[in-house]
Amino acid sequence: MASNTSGKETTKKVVAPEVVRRARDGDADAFGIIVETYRDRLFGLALGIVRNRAAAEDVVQEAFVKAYRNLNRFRGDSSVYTWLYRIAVNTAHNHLRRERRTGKVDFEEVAPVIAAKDPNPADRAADSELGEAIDGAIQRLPRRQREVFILHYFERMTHREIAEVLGVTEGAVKASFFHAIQKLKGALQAYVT
Amino acid sequence: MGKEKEKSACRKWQILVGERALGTINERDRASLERHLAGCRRCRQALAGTERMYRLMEGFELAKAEPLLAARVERALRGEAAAGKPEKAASPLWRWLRAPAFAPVAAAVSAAIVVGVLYFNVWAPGAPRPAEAPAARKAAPPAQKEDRAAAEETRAPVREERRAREPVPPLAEAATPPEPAPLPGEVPAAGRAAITPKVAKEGGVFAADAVTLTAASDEAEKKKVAAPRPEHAAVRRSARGVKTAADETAAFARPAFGKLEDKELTAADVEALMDARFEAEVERLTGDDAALVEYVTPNGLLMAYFYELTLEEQRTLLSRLRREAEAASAAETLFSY
Repeated sequence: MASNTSGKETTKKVVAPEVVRRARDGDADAFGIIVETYRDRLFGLALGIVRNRAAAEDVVQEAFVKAYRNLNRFRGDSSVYTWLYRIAVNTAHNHLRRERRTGKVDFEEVAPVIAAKDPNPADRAADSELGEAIDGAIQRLPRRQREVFILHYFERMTHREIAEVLGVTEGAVKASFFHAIQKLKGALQAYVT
Repeated sequence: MGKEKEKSACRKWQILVGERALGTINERDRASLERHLAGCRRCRQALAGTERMYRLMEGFELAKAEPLLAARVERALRGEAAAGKPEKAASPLWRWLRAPAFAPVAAAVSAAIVVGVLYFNVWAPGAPRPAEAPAARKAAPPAQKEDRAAAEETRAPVREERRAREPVPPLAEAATPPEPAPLPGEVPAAGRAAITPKVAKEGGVFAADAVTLTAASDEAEKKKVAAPRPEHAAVRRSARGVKTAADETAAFARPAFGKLEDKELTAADVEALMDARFEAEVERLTGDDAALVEYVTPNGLLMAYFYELTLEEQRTLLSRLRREAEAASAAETLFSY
């Protein structure tokens, strides 16, 4: 896979169209491949939105169940992963709305959204401090900017795909990403300079 | 060119700067950006800063799920499969009904159904008030229920006819219950400003369930009320160095929820207003103050608005938003795929 300035992979593993077709035809193994491919990635996104591990797990489970129930309604206009991400985002938003309605809003219990890729014992202390700073900066982003940043930076989705997932315009995605970068740079200034 | 103008002119380039550092810029944009970078020190600095930030982030990725999640999802899907195969593909008619072009019509129909149900069951003249309806229904003996059903049958055509002649009353007006007895520490209704700082005392603002909305402001009355504040409100007040939550809220929540004062607010309005104003409000209010950013989440904005309402007003708003959100959620389930 190619990499760039940011050192991140430019492509992500995707499910072959044939697998999607088989899943639509009711092949449980094929749907299992879809789940296996996207489960962790949906979890990362859900965690970024709801910021609570248990709630993020609920969201992922609910999203896959919804996807399974509605698989035959997936028309293939979009790729299966943007469809899945959209379901996960909607589910996570519904979760937040439910929390808001029931008053179960816990400002204290905020789970880290990121983790070190290869925890090397020698670098662990420094990584931990930097990781906390980066995580804190991401957590402090407004929800929409946080979603856009996660989808663009970590998931490498295009602006168009993100717009489709979040149900906003491409311009709004670009603006949100720009603001997110500005805020992250500001928050991490001590490390960047 | 002034500094502000220069900054503004560079903004579109700095969006591309972020893409270039990420490696997601297309060739055409890259070429034009390179030409701009050659003559713009500000953007070169922005690029260098963004690249440094991305390098810092290289060693991190999104947190992974626990291994148990795999088994959990599998179990849920197995249960789903056991309950029945996935639904059949939608019929052409159903697909047409769910087509994007039809979505506004579908939303309008859903809204009309919700409003209709609420109007007939809750707001209709002669129907029990929302706050008293459950208790009244519970207490009614069977004979009384039958009488009520018969009376309803008689009244319905008359009501229909009257409704056809009269305009539908505004929502807040229609749903306004009898003025409740003042709570401890509450200023009696007669002398009370419509918006007064108040905190829910019976299980918090979200545990509530009923009644009215009014909107006005009376600074003198507000100062007289010494209502207790929730802890986080005190924290954010002290963090910002503002005098009262009322002052603070007046500064940002009221403009954001201005429509509420016209009694036209819906759950969708709340979402739209939050989306539209959120970034600007957070930026303006908090700067980089972590505690405040944490507080001023979408529900934070809503909660901040709540502190300006009486307990009864909070209950009305919540009750209404809950119903609308449930209807919206049901519609979303139907139309989001």
